[in-house]
Amino acid sequence: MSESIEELVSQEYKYGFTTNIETDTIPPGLNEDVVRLISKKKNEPEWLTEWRLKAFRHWLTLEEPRWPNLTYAKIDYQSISYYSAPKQVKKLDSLDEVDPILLETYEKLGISLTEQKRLSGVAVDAVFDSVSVATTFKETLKEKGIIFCSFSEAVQEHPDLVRKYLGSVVPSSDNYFAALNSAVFSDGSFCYIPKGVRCPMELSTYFRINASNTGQFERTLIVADDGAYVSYLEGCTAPMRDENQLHAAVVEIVAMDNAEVKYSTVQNWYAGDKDGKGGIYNFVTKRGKCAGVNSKISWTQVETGSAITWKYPSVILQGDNSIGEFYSVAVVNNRQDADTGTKMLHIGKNTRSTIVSKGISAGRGNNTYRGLVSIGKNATGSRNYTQCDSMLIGNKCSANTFPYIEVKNSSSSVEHEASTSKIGEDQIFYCKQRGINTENAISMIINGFAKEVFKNLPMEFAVEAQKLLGISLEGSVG
Amino acid sequence: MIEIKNLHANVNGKEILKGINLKVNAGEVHAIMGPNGSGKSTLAQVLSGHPAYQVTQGEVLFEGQDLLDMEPEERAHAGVFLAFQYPVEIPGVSNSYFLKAGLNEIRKSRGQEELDSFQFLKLLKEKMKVVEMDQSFINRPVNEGFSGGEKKRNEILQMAVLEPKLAILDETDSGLDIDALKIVSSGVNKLKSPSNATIVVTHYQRLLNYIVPDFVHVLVHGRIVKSGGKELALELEANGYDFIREEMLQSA
Amino acid sequence: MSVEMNHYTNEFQTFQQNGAAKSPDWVNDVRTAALSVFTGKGFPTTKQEDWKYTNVTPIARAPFRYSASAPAVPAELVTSLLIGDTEQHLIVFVNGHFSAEHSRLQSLPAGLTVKNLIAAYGSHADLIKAHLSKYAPYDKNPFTALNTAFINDGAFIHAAKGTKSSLPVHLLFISTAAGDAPAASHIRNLIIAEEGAEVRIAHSFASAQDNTNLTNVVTEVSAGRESIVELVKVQRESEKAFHVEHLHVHQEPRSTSRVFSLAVGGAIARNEMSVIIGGETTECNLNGLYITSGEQLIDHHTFMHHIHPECPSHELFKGILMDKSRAVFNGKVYVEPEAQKTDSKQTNRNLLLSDEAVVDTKPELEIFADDVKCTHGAAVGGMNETHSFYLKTRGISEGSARGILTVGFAAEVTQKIDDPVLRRFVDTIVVDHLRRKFGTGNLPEIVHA
Ligand SMILES: Nc1ncnc2c1ncn2[C@@H]1O[C@H](COP(=O)(O)OP(=O)(O)OP(=O)(O)O)[C@@H](O)[C@H]1O
Ligand SMILES: [Mg+2]
Repeated sequence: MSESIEELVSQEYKYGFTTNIETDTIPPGLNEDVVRLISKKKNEPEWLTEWRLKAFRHWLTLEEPRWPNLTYAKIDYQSISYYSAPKQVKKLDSLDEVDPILLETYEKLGISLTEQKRLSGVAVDAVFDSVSVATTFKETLKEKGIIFCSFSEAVQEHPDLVRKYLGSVVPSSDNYFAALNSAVFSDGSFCYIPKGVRCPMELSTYFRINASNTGQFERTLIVADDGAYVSYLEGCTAPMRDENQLHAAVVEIVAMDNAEVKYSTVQNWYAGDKDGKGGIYNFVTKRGKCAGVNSKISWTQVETGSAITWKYPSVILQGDNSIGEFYSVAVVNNRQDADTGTKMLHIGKNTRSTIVSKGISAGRGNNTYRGLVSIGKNATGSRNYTQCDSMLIGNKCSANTFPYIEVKNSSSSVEHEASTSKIGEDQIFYCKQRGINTENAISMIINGFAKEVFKNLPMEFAVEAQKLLGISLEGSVG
Repeated sequence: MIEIKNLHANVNGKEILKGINLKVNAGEVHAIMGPNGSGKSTLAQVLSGHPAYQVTQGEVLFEGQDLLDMEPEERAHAGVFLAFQYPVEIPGVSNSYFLKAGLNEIRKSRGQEELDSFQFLKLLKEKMKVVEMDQSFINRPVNEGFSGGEKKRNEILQMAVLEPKLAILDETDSGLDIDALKIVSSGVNKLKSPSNATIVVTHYQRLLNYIVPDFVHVLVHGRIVKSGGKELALELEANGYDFIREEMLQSA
Repeated sequence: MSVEMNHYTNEFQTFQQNGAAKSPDWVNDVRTAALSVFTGKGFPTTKQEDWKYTNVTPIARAPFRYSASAPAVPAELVTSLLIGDTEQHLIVFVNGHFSAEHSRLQSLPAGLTVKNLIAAYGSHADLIKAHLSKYAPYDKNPFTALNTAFINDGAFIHAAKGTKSSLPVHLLFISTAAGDAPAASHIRNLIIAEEGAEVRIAHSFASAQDNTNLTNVVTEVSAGRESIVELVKVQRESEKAFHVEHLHVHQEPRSTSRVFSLAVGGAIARNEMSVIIGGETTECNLNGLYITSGEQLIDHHTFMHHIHPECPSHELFKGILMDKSRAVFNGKVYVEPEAQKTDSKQTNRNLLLSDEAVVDTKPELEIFADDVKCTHGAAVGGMNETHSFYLKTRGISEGSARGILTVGFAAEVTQKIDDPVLRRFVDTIVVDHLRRKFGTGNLPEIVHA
């Protein structure tokens, strides 16, 4: 392939700046006292402190998983600070009280927290390091009975709801990183859509890691009651730093009868430099439960950032006729490693799932799709269709596909297809012959390759994702 | 022989047939024409009992019996035969075994003796002559690797062997070369008798020169919107479906 | 050391006193090394990724005994297991011991050697030393280690440069009851095709009675430059038997391998099939069919290792599952960075005929080269409605349609067997087996397009 692409200057990570703001950061280290301290700082009820401690004690008995196809330096859990928050007035009555430096930070990231602008009709919960700094459009949502606030706030204001659903989809003992998160999670978003309500706007959480040597452990909980609908977006960025930073989040979704939740992520954490220095370690547990009949949970993710990605947004299809979907584009370049995929657990009758995964590997990146489709004995009449395609750019990268398919009844059907191929030289040539330069041709082809996934993203996100894809791969084609 | 009354049918929750009425008597040939996607194959599949189609309204009487209440094989036993627009391939199973299994089950249901291999082969070879099919097809797997035209001929061979009372031919003419068209139609004509009937679904008037219909029906959007004699086919050939659509608009 | 490991250490001593003496010293060194690997590792558990779906506890628990000699088996039994009534070069083993009585090796063509391994130490010592235990590593799979510790006898095939055998070679392994304890046969086969040679091999396993025994096989195949090796495995042991084989094919440049596995027998049967595509423009075809019923578990683990550029590989495995049976398929295609222009296709399809049967399938791709075309697909489901409808419109009943379509499902993969004689051999066994399982004589013979 043409040299010109190889020579293309790699564009800088444009969200790599640091915000200078005074923070309240606890010293590095992890023990029961730290867990208690976090809980105390957040003024949490006794049961939650105990819940955290139980998770912590369980975490101590676990070992970090070694099965993923990932290579990374050993994480020293004692060298991380588990709580960092920008210093500001305790309780915000209006956005005017948010530190202007923070507002400016989010402006720079392209996220407007000032409601007056009402740019895109998206309500945002902005999480800066360990805490939520602002949630927009709260009042508008409140009129419909929708609760959308920071997790800390939910603990104070809606303790019953939190207590009922926290850990109901991802138990604190679920896995190593989920247990760690359960012990030390600092903040995140909480969302409850009452019966029969269609949320009138996209809800969104924007995660920003700023402080160095801190881990970010946020927790998101979304509950859609009978007949409710919500579309949820998640974006993430972090400054460029030489050392690796740990991000271990948990997202839980519950969909009751006839409810639908769409969860879209554009993950653009700092990926480290060309030689693999720095970058975020992204170990995330995301899981939804289609608890009610005819419910639907749909995950769409565009993963371009992080040095290490380990995440498997999954759906437990418990209600009869429920639907689970997973659409993913994962790009690795330079020294990035991604091990991602989904689990579709069919339990109820006539449950359906669709998995579309598009992996793009460039540079020295390793991209792994790992997925499980399990059709239980009672999940009669169920269907799954899976398509996993990988594209390799250059021969120092790799693409792996590890699907697990377990079927326990004969009235269901599962179909899995996967392919791996090179970016088509004849396609590039065809474009060039029509006057399109190589760079644009490649961007066109790759966007075409990922289109099936992009079309599931909300409009503004899709545009952003397409651009991101181009940026992530710049300088990789040779 | 068959009477279709106000037949409505769905596939995947979408209504395709929206009230079909059609009566076919013994000895008659009916042609059904209509634009792509109008529901012709759907009608044929519904009559032979394809499980993907749900009948939502109406009834079909075949020789006085409720056809819709019968399993596909019971319909075959009763004498309904469908020559598919897209016949499926069954690897590994020979044409002759397949047909013999079908024929013997049909004979059994009628209280006739089953044919042994020798008798069957004799019959098969006779019928193959009628449709001018090479004997090498006897032991080839059902439709596997057959050309489009060969598949269609194989459908007619099956019809010749099973001797149905009502044969529904769904675009049996498409994909056939000119010689094959003549052979297939003469095959159909030879099998014609005062006690059986044929429904031919086709896009081309040409076939109807060989298999002359008593009636021509035009199916549009799941309804028979016009019926007539064989001249109707000529009219359609000359003018396309637009004039019918216009008539529909005017009458609407 | 666990009870099981003690048992095998004792067995090893018995074996050393009895059978082991008939082989060269270097073999004994390999055995000892392998035994320590085996006792170190123990039997695999479901915690290990490679054995996640296959629990071998029943094998580990049963006190299988090495038998120093083979009981007699009736000639009629051997006859019933032959490849139809065609001529074949036949070598028979009973419980892993060579049976001169039943073998028919008189009319071997020049250049083709077929004998038992113990005899071959005398005639082909250097060749054996160069190949034995060179392809099948015993440090990974405990059963391979166990087999290697007990290397004794098995088939030895050597096709000298350019030798083309017109008749199939039939390696027939019969297991039979020997005394009170269940018998273990650790069979070791070595197949060497030199440059330009062509051989067709039926590799078949059967039981004399419906009894529990362990057949633990390691077969190493070396396909030399431009050679063609077709190996058709037919495993129809008793449904109480345990069967494990690690088949390892090493291919030199421009060779072609065609491996087929038919598995219908065994309470637990595990086939591990590894193909090392070790030279440019080498072709590999790896196919198989498993039919499970009762409470059988049949497991295929395949590994297609592309090391060199421009090699096509094709893999199709199909499964038919009845009753409460289980099947496991794990197919890995691994493409090294140098293996550019690899064209690899892998498919696994399963037909579930019962609501109590379970399929676990895991087709894997690991790709490190960019200019490749690799695809895999897996499907699990019941009877194809469209096909079954077509049959019914021709008057065929539900039950017969099921039978006919199951035969058709199987035929699509047996068709991949290149040699017509071997293909017919497999087709007949498949249909007979299905007739027994369906309880009807009313199933068609398989024909191919
Ligand atoms: N399984 C299905 N799922 C969804 N739509 C279907 C299905 N089967 C048929 N249809 C739709 O039903 C309509 C009627 O199809 P049908 O095959 O009966 O048309 P036709 O009149 O035979 O057309 P042609 O002349 O092209 O053969 C079409 O719009 C078709 O796309
Ligand atoms: Mg049609």
